[in-house]
Formats: sequence, C-alpha cells, structure tokens
Amino acid sequence: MQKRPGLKVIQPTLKEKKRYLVYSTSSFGSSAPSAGALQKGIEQGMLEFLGDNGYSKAGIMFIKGTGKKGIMRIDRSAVDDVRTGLMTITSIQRQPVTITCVGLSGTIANATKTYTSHGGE
Amino acid sequence: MIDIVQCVVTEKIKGHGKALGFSKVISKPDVLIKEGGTDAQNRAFVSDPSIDILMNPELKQTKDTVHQRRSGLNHVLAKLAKRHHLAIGFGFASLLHTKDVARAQILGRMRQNVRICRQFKVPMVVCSYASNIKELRGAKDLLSFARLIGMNGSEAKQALHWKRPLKKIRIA
Repeated sequence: MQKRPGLKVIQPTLKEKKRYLVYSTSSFGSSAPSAGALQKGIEQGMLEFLGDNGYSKAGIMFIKGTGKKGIMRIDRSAVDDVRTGLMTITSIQRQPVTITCVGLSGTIANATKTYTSHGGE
Repeated sequence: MIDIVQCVVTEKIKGHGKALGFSKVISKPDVLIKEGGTDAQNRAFVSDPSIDILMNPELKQTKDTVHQRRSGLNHVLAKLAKRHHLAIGFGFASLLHTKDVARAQILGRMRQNVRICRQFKVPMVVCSYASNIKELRGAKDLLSFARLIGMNGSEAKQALHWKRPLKKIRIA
C-alpha cells in the first residue's frame, strides 16, 4: 500500500474549536472599499487591537468576502476579543467605515446562509 | 437593549440604532450623565443623588501606581454610588479616540472598575457613548465588549438594559 504524502491529520480533540463569523460594513455614503482592501484593513485593525500574540491565539482566517461583507474563521475562545476588535476599526484607506458582526456559526454552511441572506454574492 | 449616546438623538440615529439591535437610543436630556474627572470631581459626582450615570471615571486620571491602577473608582466611591443609586458607565467611544498604550491603559482601568462595581453591587452600564452616527455600534457587539472587560453573561445583559431606579423616580 502506498504511503500518503505529508503528515497524518491530527486527532479531532486536538484541533482548534472554530467559529465562522459573518461581518458586514457600513460606509456612510462614501464608496465601499475593495475586497482586498477590506481584508487588509481588518488584519491591520485586529493586529493593532489584539497584538501579535492575541492575533495568533484568535486564529483569524478569511474564508470569503466582498468589500461589503465577508466570512472569517476564528477560534471559539477569541470570539469576544475579535468582535470588540472589529468595533475599533473606524476607517479603511482613509474612508470612514463601521464593521458589524451579523452572525456567528459553528458550521460554514449556516454561516454561508447568513452571508447570502444579508445580500451577499 | 438601550444605547446611550453623547449627541442629539435624531430620527436617523434612532433608525440606525434600531438596525443595530437597540430598542431605544437615549441621550443627555433623558438621562443625567456626568463624565469622569479628577478624584475630587468623581467624589462630588457620586455624592450627588440627582446624577444618573458617572460615565468613564477612568478617563482623566493620573499615571498608574505600582500596586493598583488609577481607575477613578475605589471602594469608598463605589459605596457612595450604590447609596445614591448611581450607575457607572463604560462608554466604548473612549476606546475609539485612543490608540496603542493609552487604549490598553483605559481597557485595564475599565477591568478594575468592573471588579470594584461587582464587589459592591454597583449598577453598571455599557454603551457606545457615540458623538456621531458613525460611532454607534451593534448591540451584540457591545455585549462582547462587556464580556471582554470582565462582566459575566448576566451582568453584561443587565448593563445594556439601563433604567432609572424606581427609588430615584419617587424621590424626584
């Protein structure tokens, strides 16, 4: 039997407990940022708020998104920290913006439902 | 849930507040708020029974000391606030206007104030304390903020449902 390349997948109990957070932005009349700019802005904002250590513990990963909404994966224990961090972001590329958490789910299927029902892609 | 703001509450702000999950957005005429100042000012505010909320007592404080943070509250002020039916307010806007170490200091002071208020059963209020519509934040996000500064689940929910205590209404 051929050996599978790479490392074996870790045990389920050792995996991070994740949550999928659906967020949306309000631009207050000015143009919405691009998807890449929004993602970068959120990364910068979260790094500023959480610090290097906190950001690593939060395990932030962007799943999908546009300039107006998106889905990110975070660690279960960092949900409050990440939500508060999103509240501290006031501008992206010098345009005023507010980011709100629209929904939080344990599965990506449910998160995608919330994302789509909020008028996503 | 109820949000408290600094600015005048217009129809636009009310509508935005409803979209963010608040049943009501109130401001200064409906609630008598005093912002935190020096130690002497904070003492005077908590001794005044006509005041409803002392907002951000940690803001204009001096440098932290080795053994404790200068958070604007201590056990004496907490007991006075409890006696005069005053609530201690934690406005999120103070974090928006600061950065880096100053922001971290304010967060730490808020955490200390939460511990003090819990010990002496002083009512706590969490709000956006926005000065314009752009500073308004979602109800559930403020709930997360309340948990971040050290409140447990029920304390956080109560902090977003401020009501003038009945004893105060009767006295007035």
